Amino acid sequence: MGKWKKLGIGGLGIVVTLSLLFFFTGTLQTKSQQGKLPKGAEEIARARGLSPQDIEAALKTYVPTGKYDEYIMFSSGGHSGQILVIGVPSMRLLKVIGVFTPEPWQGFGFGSKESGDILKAGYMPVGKDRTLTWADTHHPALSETNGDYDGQYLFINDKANSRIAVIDLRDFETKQIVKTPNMISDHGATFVTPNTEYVIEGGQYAAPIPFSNYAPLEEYKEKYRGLITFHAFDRKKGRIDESRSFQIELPPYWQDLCDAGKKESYGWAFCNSLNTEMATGGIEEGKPPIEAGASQRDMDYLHVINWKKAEEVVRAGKVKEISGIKVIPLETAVSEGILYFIPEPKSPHGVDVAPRGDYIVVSGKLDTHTTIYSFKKIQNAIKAKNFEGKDPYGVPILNFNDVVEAQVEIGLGPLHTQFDDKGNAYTSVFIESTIAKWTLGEPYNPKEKAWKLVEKIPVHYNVGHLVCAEGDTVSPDGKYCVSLNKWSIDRFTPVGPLHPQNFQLIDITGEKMQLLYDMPIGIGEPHYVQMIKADKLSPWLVYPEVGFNPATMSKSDTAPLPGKEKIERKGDTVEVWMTAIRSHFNPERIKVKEGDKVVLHITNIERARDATHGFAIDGYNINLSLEPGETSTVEFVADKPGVYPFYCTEFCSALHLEMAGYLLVEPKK
Amino acid sequence: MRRLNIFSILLLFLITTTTGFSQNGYRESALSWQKQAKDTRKAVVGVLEELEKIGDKGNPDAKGLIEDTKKWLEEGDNALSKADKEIEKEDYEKASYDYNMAWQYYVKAATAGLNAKRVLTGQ
Repeated sequence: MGKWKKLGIGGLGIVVTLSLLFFFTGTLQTKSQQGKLPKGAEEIARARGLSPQDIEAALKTYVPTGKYDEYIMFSSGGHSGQILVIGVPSMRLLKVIGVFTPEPWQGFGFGSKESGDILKAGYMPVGKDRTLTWADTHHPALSETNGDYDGQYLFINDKANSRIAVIDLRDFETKQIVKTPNMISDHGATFVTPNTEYVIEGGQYAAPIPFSNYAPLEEYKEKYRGLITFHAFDRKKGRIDESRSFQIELPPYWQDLCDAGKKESYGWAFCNSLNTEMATGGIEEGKPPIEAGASQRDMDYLHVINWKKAEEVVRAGKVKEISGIKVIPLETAVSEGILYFIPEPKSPHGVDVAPRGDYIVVSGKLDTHTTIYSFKKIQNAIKAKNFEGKDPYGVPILNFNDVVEAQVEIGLGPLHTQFDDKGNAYTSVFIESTIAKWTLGEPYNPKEKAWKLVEKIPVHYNVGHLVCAEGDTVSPDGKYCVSLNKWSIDRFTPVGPLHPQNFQLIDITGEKMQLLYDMPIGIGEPHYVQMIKADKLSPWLVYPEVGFNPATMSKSDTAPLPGKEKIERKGDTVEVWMTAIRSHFNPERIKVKEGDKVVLHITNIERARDATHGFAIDGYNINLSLEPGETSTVEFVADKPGVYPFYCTEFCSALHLEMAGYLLVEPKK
Repeated sequence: MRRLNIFSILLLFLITTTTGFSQNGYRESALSWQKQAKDTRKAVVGVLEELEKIGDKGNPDAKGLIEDTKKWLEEGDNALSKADKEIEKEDYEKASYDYNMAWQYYVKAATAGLNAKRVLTGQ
């Protein structure tokens, strides 16, 4: 026993855990003749100061080389404007998808016409310089069929500029960016309706409609408004169809997160709000700051929106067209029974619909409860016109006590809720930095077990959202949750005053929640994440045909093909059809004159998995990524005379350095 | 540490019993926020006293968080003192906002204090 003393009580646990590991690996060994547990395992654990819990956590998260993760998370990349693709349980970063921000590795926004056009579509509609090169990505949403993730598309919003992006999960590339008309900020986005009929984008900070119509803050109540957009999604085309999209005008409260009803509540959407006080600040003039003005009232309003009814109203033409989109005026939304309010604990964040669509869970950040509303009770109250009054804009307000089902006391600062497959809910609790597990009511649990706090686990620190495996669908998987913490404080090796965020993986399969892994996120402040079973995704390994254009997701008529390479001059335009294969470009010499317009079409004619080529022209800020089969076009003016090598930026073969050529720009005489 | 947990529970109770703008006007609202701000302050002071007894144990993160707790407490006290003067002058609207602001600073102090506790104890 002597040498185990240092391990103390934990030592026994290590023995048990290692014995279990040996048992399982031993079983495997008889089948596959794989290696034994190394004799030095105990010494490694001891030398590294690992507790039995650490070892168990390691066993639950380690994914050996060549093996794949069970789940994939799509995480907002926060300020980076990108999306992070992360494997679970390994928490390995698999990819960063360029979305709103130019991303050089993928050649996104560095010369390729296709990606340039996508980014330009998301620029500002007004102003001299309309360029936007960053985004504050918040809430990714996977496309759904019957309320379940279908693994086809992914959407994400840009809170800073009110934009929505569409990513095709066949190639994990951004296909479309829409600058939402009339709106300048959003937050309740993106959330999809159960068959991805619409991508919901709720606004955040009220502004005139459109935002470019100036109005002073003194006219806030009269001229400022909230907005919610229902972006119609054309699944066949894989694009948002703005001609079928519509907006609903709302009072100038600050709408927050939304969720779409499902199953029982299909056809409805729910959005939180804050600042129903309509505070506009003015700290510099001695007025109360917005944070005080916006939290004077006990309650804000949960917005209950009948989007099916809104569709009918749009079809009936009871809309205004503003900035090219149909807008249902506020008075029409009220008179047609599209919009209702319910009092909700102030300054709420998450509004989350339970898997059967029967309950709506709201978390007020300055409350200590989650408040659960019954969809049936809401419907009954609407039918009975049982309203406690109207807000200043005429929106009927349902009586809180008529529609509330339960309140569960969970802690200081509840924020966002997800669900498992056993009738439990998990809520992030911001102020006290915990994840709280609690039970749903009937029919998820018998009455005696309903609406009870089960357990809380500390997280590190200041948790914002959380995600559980498929935890916002009609059929959550359970298994894992991830706490998306805003602060990491002491969790990682210091890297300067700007700390990484901290994603903490939690095993929720046992009696007690178990913290498994900390993943630093050093690229921005991710807000929300969705986690899908990996086998629901069917990404391509190479593009289906040589000459494939990812922007159109079809073979390009103009794609250069082997044997068809050429250079043509027409006036001041030099057009080049080029192919790329290990380890050369063809052609390798491009001679132009200063001031010529150069149009380069390049196809990677490789068919092997992972045989990607880059194409960079020195000094011209051009870099493409050409995946096997992909074709792309670059257009630029050769305004800099001289000699500019171009080369492949991927280490594609032993002769990678030789995969190069020259752009010769002859000076004007 | 047990006392720290008691203060956490007290804070939970105080934040549960939030109040706000009342239909009866700013006076009631101001008095209500005054009570909540002062009650929350007591709980924060309790957390801070316990943290000071324990000390930061040389942990720079805990030290920073304890400093933050003190700073937020001070900010809250400034707002509270401003509101007290306003209520004496029967300027209930301003008092209501400033008591609210004091309460918000105390909640921030509580967040920092609880994080310090988490850093020091893991719980």
